Amino acid sequence: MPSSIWRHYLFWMLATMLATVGLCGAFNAFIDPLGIFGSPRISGLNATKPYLDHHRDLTRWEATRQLCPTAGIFGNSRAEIGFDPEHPAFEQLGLVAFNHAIPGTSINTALRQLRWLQDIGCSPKVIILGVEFFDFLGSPPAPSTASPLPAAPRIDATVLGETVFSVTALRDSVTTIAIQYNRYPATLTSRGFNPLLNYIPEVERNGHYALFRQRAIENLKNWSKKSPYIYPAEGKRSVDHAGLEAFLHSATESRSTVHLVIYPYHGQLRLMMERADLGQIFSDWKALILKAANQTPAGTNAVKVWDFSRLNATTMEPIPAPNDRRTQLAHYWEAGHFKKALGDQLLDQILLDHPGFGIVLDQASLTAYLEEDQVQTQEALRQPSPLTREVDSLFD
Amino acid sequence: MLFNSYAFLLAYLPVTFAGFFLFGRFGKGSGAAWLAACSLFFYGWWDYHYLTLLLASICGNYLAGSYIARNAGTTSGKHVLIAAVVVNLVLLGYYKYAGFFLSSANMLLGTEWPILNIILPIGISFFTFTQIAFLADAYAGKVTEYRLIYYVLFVTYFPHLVAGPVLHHREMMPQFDEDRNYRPDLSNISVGLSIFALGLAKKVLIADNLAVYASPVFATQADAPSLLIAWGGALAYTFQLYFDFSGYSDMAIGLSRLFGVRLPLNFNSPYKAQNITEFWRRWHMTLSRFLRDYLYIPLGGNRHGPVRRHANLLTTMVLGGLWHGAGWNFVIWGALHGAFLVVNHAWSDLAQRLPLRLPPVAGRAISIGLTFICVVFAWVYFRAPDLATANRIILGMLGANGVLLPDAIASRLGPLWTTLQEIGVGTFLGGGGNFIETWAWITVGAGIAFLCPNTQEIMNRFEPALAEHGKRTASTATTRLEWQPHRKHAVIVGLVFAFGVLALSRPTEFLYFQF
Repeated sequence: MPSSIWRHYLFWMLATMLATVGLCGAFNAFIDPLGIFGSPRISGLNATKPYLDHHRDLTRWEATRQLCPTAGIFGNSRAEIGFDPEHPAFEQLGLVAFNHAIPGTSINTALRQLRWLQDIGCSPKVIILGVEFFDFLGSPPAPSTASPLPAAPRIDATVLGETVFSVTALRDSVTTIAIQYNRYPATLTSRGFNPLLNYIPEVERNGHYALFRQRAIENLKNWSKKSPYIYPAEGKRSVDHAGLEAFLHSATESRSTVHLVIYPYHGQLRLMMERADLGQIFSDWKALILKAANQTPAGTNAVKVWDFSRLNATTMEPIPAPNDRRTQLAHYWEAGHFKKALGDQLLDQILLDHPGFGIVLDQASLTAYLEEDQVQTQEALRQPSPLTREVDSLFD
Repeated sequence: MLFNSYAFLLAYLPVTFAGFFLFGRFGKGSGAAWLAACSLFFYGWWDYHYLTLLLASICGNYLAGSYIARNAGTTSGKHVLIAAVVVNLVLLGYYKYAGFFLSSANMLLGTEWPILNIILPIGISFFTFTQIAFLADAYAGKVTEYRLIYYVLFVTYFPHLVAGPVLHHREMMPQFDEDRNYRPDLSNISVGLSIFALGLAKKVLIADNLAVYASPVFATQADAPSLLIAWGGALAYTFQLYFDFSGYSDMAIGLSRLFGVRLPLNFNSPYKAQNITEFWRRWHMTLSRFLRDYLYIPLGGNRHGPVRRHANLLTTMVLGGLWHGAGWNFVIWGALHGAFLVVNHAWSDLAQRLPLRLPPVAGRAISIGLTFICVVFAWVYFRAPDLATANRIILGMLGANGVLLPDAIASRLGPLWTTLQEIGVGTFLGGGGNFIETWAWITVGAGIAFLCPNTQEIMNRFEPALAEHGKRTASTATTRLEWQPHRKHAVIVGLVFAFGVLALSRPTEFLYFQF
């Protein structure tokens, strides 16, 4: 064949390839699914951003850098879903809040996020930090020297490759356009809050019971893999314990007020913990949290420990029956994740001193309080009820 | 360095390619030396510590091979051949099998010999086998090319170095000595880039997506899978492995073609095979060829009656299994394939005497289906990290853990669900989306593997690869999809290439790198 045919072929092939890659890149940068390039948010095109499970640090960091918030919510998925940074209480106190919480992460992620903020002079005045018992459970011993914190994420060539010139980015861009017309999109607000709207149709399809049951089974499986301790050895601190102390130290040094929040686990979770012989460890853990708070230089003046985990009418909200696909619970998605409605109540109490079921822990009454809490939980476990039958069935 | 990485595509390949033709102007030796140096760099990028091992292996085998070739067929040649093969196997045994033998001995004898944590040098199985074949051919008087630089290039040639195809010196050396290969050729570049683009797409757009659904089922901590989950995992891996390895082979063939060198064909739609013998003529063809020529035939092949033939088949396949990795799983995988081959031969003998004949279409469909199912079962042992996991999945595939559907799917089946419940189908909570995605990807994989022509068939008109005994890999059934250097095909390949490149942001290793 004459070489002109091959030259023609190569031209068209390479031109198509380069043009396709270039156009995809331009399209992805313009739609900006992660919201990290500052592209204009156009209603009906890309104003609502999808909830994406990659580049989570970067997404939140880029939004934070631009906002320089004066209040921060830190924690895992419970905080991400439950605490709305646009709750009016923040505005009433003259604060601009951002939700930094990332699902599945521990206190050490919160610590590095805080340090990055401090490094750019954006230390939050008020911090809501959700602390997670299950992170501390079986946590390995802390190394003798703390490992250096990673640098804040930035948009480099690798990130550009992943977020602009990639099939994943193209899929994200298409998702972004599609969710503009979705009534219940899986989304992350510009303030880092995940309203979990996509769970509404999920509940309509499968009912709350399926969510409670599925997560309960997963929880039991996860707990069985963990060692039943919160202190890895006598006098030793765990990685999470050390992370919490470092977080509190950093926060109080920069004069932040810290509200440590023991999450409002649903009664099902509390009864399961009791049934799995984790009740005493849970109490010991609360004592550990309070001790860590008291050991900061500013002590309880700057750090408050809020316990929302006690059993009460709210945390014992009845789980709908297995075939009930109509009931939408007021406060919970499932036992581990509370809705914004409950998160709002918590924030009202924490920030505005509104009445609520949260208890501020203090050293003087701690022992009696914990005993009372455990007795109450054990009593609830003994009482025959749909909830105890459900918990029993999980252990059968 | 991975073929499916920016570093390879944007830096290594252009520099190697340009340098080859630049140095080629000063003579074939210069061009070959540049390509060999680049190939060593390619290998050293992974771990430069093992460059010494590779170079020592090349030098030792070259010296031994030269001596053997000069003394072909003589007693002294035979002695050196045996010694050189033993040294190669000891080296391979040390790096690949020492840990396995020690742990097996500890298990069987109750001893506590320390397990050596030896890192397996990448590609050692491939470059060892390539050179053993060279030594054997030297003794048989088939080696006519002795130039060191060509030999170095033959062993280290980057398209095949780490995961094959397993090369024969006699099909490569003449190509390295071809004058015209040292001048850029637009037809080779067009054909090579097109094959590379198809291979890249198979790897990054299909295999990597299937991996997500296979891996959780094969995890050691995974629950005992129910029937559809177990089959979902096994089938996802079945297609993942095919698209991963055949994609890699296509990329190797395409890259080599850029330099004017044709590599041997390694895959020819293996899942379309009608029996297990045919499967091995279509799957990892260069390894099958090696095992046949240098193991099965020297063992006696089929020359000493059916019993000896069956024993030779079993031995060859068990050793073939062990070649893939040091572990009982690979022994079982090899033994299973050996047993399949024995049964296939016995059935072929018996079927000839049976008066009954199925209609051709039905017979073909049943044969393909049965062969495929056998292959899938064997892959479970190949992929599973240990025997316990493999057995757990096999039990799931046999229905020992029941048949369960995601609750969300069952609730949408309407009256059909009642019927399914009556025959014992149950439900599990969650995982509906994952279940649907798994089977959707399996359907995509199966559709391409069973219904579409393969890369060689698509590129058939331009002899993309060397076939055995100089045969072309033609398939007359695929003329409609045959590639031609037209604008339409250029745009299609360009799009495939573009999406392949767009999927490179998080490159994953090829499965066969571990062997």
